[in-house]
Amino acid sequence: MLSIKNISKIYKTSKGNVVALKDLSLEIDEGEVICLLGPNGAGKTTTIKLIGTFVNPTTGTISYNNISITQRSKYLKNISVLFEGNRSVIWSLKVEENLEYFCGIRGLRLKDVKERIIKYMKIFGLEEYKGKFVNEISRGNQQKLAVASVLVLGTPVVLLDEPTLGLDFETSDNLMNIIKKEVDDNKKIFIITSHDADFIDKIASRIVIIDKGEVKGIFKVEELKSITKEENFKNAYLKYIKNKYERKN
Amino acid sequence: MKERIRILITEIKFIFIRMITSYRFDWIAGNINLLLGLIFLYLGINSFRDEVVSSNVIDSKTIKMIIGLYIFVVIQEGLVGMVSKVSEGKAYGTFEQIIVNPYGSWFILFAKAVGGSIISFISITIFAPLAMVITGKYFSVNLFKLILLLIPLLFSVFGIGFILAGLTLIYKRLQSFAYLIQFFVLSLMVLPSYPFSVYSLLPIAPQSLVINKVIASNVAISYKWWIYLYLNAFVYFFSGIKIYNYLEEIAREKGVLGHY
Repeated sequence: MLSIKNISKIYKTSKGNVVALKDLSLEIDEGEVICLLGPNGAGKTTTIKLIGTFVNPTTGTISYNNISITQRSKYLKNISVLFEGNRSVIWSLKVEENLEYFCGIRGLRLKDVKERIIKYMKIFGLEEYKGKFVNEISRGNQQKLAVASVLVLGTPVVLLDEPTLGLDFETSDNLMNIIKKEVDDNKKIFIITSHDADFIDKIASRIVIIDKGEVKGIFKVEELKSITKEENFKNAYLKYIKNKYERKN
Repeated sequence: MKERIRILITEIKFIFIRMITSYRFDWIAGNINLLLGLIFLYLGINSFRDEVVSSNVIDSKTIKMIIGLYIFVVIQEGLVGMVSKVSEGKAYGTFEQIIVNPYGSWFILFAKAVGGSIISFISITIFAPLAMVITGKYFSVNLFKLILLLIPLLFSVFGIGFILAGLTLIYKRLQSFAYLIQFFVLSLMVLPSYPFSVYSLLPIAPQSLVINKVIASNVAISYKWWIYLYLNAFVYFFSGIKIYNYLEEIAREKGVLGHY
C-alpha cells in the first residue's frame, strides 16, 4: 500500500511563500489507478514529484509498504516515473537498446529481464521497430517506448505525468488497455496526471481533484457522476469545480 | 554491490554501442584527430622546422608534453563530461530516470564518467603505439604503473566533477563555468606539489605532477607517496560525493530537480 499522509509543499520565494500542495492524504491499494485532475498549475505534477522524491515535502510523510521516502534507496526500488513521455528516451540508442539500458542502470540483470523486454516490445507493438533509432519512429511510438521503458522495470508503483499528451485516439486507447492489463495481471499502482477526460473516465479507480494546491475532493468516477447528477465524466468534473461542492475524502 | 557492477557494465557497454552506431562518424573523426595529434607530437615541432627527423627516440620533454596532453584530456573529460551529462539529461528529460535510481544519481554519474575514462584510455593505448609505428619514433611507458597512477588522478578529478555536477542541478547550464574551472584546474598541474608542499594538499595537483615525474622522468616515488596520492584522491572524491548529495537536497527543496 502507498500511504500519503498530510503532505504539503510550500516553496519559499523572494515574493513570499507559494503553496504548491496543501494537506493531501491518500491510501492507495495494490491494483488501483489514481488519476490526478485539475487545471494547469493546480499541483498535480508537484504531487507526482513528491511521490517520486523529486521534491521534499514541507510537511507530511509518504511510504510504500511502510518504507518511508526518507529511506530513499529502499523506497525508490518500488517506484518508476515518467514525465512528458518521449523526452525520457535516449535518441542515440535503438528501440530495444533503450529498454535494455533503463533496466541496466537500475541494476537489473539482462538475463532476468530479456523476456520482459520481449514481452513489452510485443505488448506495445514495438517489435517491428526493433533495430530502429528513436528518431526513426513516430511520436506515438516514441511515447509507447517511453511508457514501456518505465513498465519494463517491474516496479509496483508507476507514476505517469500526462502520458496521453500528443497521442492519437488509437494509441491513447492502446495505452489505456496496457495499463488496465498491468493493473489486473500485476496489481500495480498507477498514479497518473491527465487532462484527457475520456481516458480518466475509463481507467481511474479514484480521482483526486486538485486546484491551486488544494485538494478539492477524492472520488470514484461513478461517485462524482452521482454527486453532480451528470452522466458524462467531463461535465461532472466541470460542474463539481464550478459549484464548489463541499470537500469529500 | 552486484547491482552497482551491473550499472557500471551497462554504462560502459552503451557508451561503446553509441560510439560505434549513432556517433560512428564522430568517433572515427575523433580517433583520427587523436592519432594525428600524437604523430605531430612524436615528430616534434622542431622536426617540421628542420625537415629532418633526427632521432628515433622521443626526448623526455616531448614525453612530458604527451603525458601532459593525456592528463589534460582526462581532466577535461571528468569535469566538463559530468556537467554536460547532468545538463543534457535535464534538457532531454532522461535525468529523471537517474534521479529515481535506487543507487543514487551520483553513482550513475560516476559509472558514466568511469565508462568514458576507460574508453578514452583504451583509445590512447591503441593509438599511442600505432603513432610510434607510423613515425618510427619510440618511447616506452610502464603501462601498469601508469594505470596505478591514473586511478588516483581520476578519483580526484571526479571529486571536483561531482561538485560542478551538483551545481548544475541547481543552476541549469554550467558548461561555460566548467570550461572556466577547467583552466583553473589545469593550472594545478604545474604547481610544485612534489616533493611535499602546501600545494600537495590540493586536488589533482600531486597526482598529475607525479604522473609526469614517474612516467616521463623515471622518478621513483616512495610507498608513502603512493599512499598519499590515493588518500588525497579519495578525500576529494568522497567530499565531492557528499557535496553533490547536499546540492541535490537543495535542488529537491527548491523543486528544480529534473527536466526544465
